[in-house]
Amino acid sequence: MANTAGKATATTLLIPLRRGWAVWCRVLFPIARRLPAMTAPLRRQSFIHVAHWTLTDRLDGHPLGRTCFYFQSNFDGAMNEYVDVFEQAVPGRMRMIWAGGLDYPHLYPSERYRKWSVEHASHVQHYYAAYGHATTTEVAAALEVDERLDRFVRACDAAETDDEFDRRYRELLAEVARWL
Amino acid sequence: MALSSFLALCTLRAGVDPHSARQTLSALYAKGPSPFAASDRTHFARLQVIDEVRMHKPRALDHPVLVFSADVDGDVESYLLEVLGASAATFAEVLHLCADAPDDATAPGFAPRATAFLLAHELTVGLPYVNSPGATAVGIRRAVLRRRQLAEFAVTHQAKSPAERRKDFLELFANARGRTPERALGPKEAP
Repeated sequence: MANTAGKATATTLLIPLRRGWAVWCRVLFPIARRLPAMTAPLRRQSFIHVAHWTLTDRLDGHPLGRTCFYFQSNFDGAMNEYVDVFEQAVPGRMRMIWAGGLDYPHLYPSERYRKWSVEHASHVQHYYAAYGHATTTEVAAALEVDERLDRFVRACDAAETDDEFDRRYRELLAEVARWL
Repeated sequence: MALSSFLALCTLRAGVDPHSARQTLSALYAKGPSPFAASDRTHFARLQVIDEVRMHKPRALDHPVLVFSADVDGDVESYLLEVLGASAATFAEVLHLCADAPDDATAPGFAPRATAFLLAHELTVGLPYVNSPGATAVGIRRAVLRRRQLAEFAVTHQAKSPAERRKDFLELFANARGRTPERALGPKEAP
């Protein structure tokens, strides 16, 4: 299926906005860019690799009639799970962005919100993910392990005895166990 | 290195039916590796056709567009030059779907002209989100591999002696860092 590559899924949403909502987003986006706290809950949930929101009132110069959100995401799992996690992890932030969507059905009941999202999704015909075999959580864990592994290797010394090496090796394993 | 999200929307050429354009894009899978795989700087990339927008109900666009999108390490222009040069034939086929796009991969200067075309059709991303900022695609692939290797190593080497464990560990992990095992092992254990 084109929308998936390994464990990664691509979604593209084009959602027209209610009049005036774009003004709010033009204030919100620069603030969100500067404040890591805005996206911290997403990072804690660790299910989106890369995503972006864009405002546009035209596609390649052709007017759409309204300003729209153009949203792309690369995430783990299926679209329904994605929407569920989003709703549970960052409901307030979801409303801050999506509540301005035309015909926005509110987050709850979830089924209506999921239907609304899917109705605005466009199928991707060709999708490439360089590390689609790893989930977002696995990527984050691997980077933690790799950093410590590098540090361990840099500290290796020919003068060290095998037992000293082994003690450090066991300490390394204990330190990275939660990410393995 | 910072991750850049690039998004270009290019109007389909007159006479190109969105359905057949989708088939052309879907057929790329059958022709070998993704053209985006030509660059180690690609994290994620997609090609798709958008031909409707839902304003209360679906409304067909008068001018369907092809979406060319990539999340990449470093600056976009050098990235586009790299992939469009390395996968020129495939991308020429893709760009052939778009109005006024360069579509002859054999023509001199195809990659620079195609790059300029895509940059001219860029839609600037408003709010990006990256879960692992600063990590390159190469670094992530390598880290994922090494994490798996370390987990396997920990299991398979439980019963080995400290000397064996050290030798095998350094052969597996120290080499990858550019350190020679000889240096790390010391004169006694070196082969």
